[in-house]
Amino acid sequence: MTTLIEVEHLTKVFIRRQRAGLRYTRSEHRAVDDISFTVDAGEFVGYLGPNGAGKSTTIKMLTGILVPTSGRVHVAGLDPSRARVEVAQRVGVVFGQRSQLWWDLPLRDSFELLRHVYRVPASTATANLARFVDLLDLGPFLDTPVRQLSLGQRMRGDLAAAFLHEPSLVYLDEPTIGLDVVAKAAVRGFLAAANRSNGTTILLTSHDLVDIERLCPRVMVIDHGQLVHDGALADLVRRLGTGRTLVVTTPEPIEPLAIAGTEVVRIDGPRQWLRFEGNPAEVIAAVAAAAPVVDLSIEEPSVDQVVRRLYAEGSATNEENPGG
Amino acid sequence: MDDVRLYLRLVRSRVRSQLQYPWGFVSDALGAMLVGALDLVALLILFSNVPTMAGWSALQVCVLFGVAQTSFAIADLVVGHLDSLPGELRTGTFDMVLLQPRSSLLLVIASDFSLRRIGQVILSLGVLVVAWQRLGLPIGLGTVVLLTATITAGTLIFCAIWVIGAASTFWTVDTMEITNSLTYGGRQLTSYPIGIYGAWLRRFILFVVPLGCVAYFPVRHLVGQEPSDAAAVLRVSGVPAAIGLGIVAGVVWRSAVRTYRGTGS
Repeated sequence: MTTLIEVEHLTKVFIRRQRAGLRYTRSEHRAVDDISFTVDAGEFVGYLGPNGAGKSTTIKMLTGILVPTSGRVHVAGLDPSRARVEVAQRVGVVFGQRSQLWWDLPLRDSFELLRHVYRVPASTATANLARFVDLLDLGPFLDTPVRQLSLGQRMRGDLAAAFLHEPSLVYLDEPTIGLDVVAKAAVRGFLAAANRSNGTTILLTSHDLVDIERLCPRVMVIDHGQLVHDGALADLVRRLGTGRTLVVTTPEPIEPLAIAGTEVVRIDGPRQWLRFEGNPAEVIAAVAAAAPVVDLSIEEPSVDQVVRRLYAEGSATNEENPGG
Repeated sequence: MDDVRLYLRLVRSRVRSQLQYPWGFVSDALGAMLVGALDLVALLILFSNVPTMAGWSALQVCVLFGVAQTSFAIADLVVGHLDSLPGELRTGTFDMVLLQPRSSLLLVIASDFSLRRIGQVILSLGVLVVAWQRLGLPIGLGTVVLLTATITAGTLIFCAIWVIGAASTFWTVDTMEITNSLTYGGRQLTSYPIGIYGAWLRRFILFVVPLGCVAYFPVRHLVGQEPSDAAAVLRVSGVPAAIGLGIVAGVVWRSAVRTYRGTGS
């Protein structure tokens, strides 16, 4: 495996000047605070974190849009802050909220212009486009002006645009935001195929955990500018451990069960959901002693819960610190 | 060379999309022409009260007007949309430019092309041609070369000022208005013989903003208003001024982008 991204002690400090009366006060905001990681060629990495945690600042430094305050970044052996143009040639980007397509041109013409912007040989572009049309089902709207496309169609167009010049690395920021189930599935299928068959390295930011669960064997989590997790998704779930849930069914609805070490998180008629950490056998014994039980089952924590909790915590503590 | 080809390709796509609604385009172009015509009317009203201005006749001033306004109108056509840059910086659209493997200035300039402004180019050239003929001035190779060089240099100077002005918005939030006063105001200043301005304003035009070179010196020669003791080299002084200012604009743009990449805002 060759290393594609190398990040060492990366830090970005924004100086903010605030006006207080006639004076300006300077305050520092460490958007990215001493993070280090490497990504090998061919990896598919999820990059998670609450809003304002430093995700987009990191990606901006990896692409050369922003120059780091300190630390080192190398992408394919190049320093993006010095060799922005060379790095851009090897990188593709999809920002869910923005588009690099021309609003007033048919999708096909946008691809043709981008082909020239990225200096892609005509034969390569034609072959790639044929493949993308097939994988993303672009055919029906290839000649439609981008402004008339639905969000899902536009996103599929933007994905094709980002991969047209055969980048070795692609950053995706919320590529499935606002899409319906079918469009989401198409996007995921395309990304999985690009990663598997072309070996394209992909860094994905998403609030949709199904994206992460399906696509990313490795997950990095950033919070308050610091890397708080780097490893498998399952490890993250285990570490944050929202605990398991015991579902208790009684013959009739009863008062909420008060069992030491548990918390009733939901009641629905005769069923109660008790969240707990630790040994399930003890909890089950305590429940059986306290109430008549018809049925018992244990639910594992879902990734969704874990990361929702992670994001909720982040946004709560980050409210005074937006941006970045 | 490749950059030029890309520029032409991008601009062609802008033009094609603006021509999708031909009647809209025609009315826009006529509107732009009308604005330019108002300047001409103002000039003619002035001359209905005075026979000459700093020794220049109405037709002679019209030649100057035609040359200066043509330069301005072409620059407006090519880079006039740069005044939307502050908005692009605010919304982050400029980041998309930095993600592409090309010169950011090239991409920003090629991102739009306001074809409707061609109305003013046509009007200004028309004024130049008509005044030229009515004055009965000769047309030789030398004259054509000098006129072309003058208009080209003038266009480059206006473009450079626009780029410098747009670049300055990387540091300050919204100073495009100052730039507009230089470009749009400069168009007015250079359309009249600088002899009519006070000494301090004349010096400001000539040296601080080299707009004075744009049209005045060569046109003065062409219409026979050049003093006999004037240095002939002044007639082409606009060319080095344009090249110099073009280089300055490039440097300012680069350092502006560097600042943006340092602060991200």
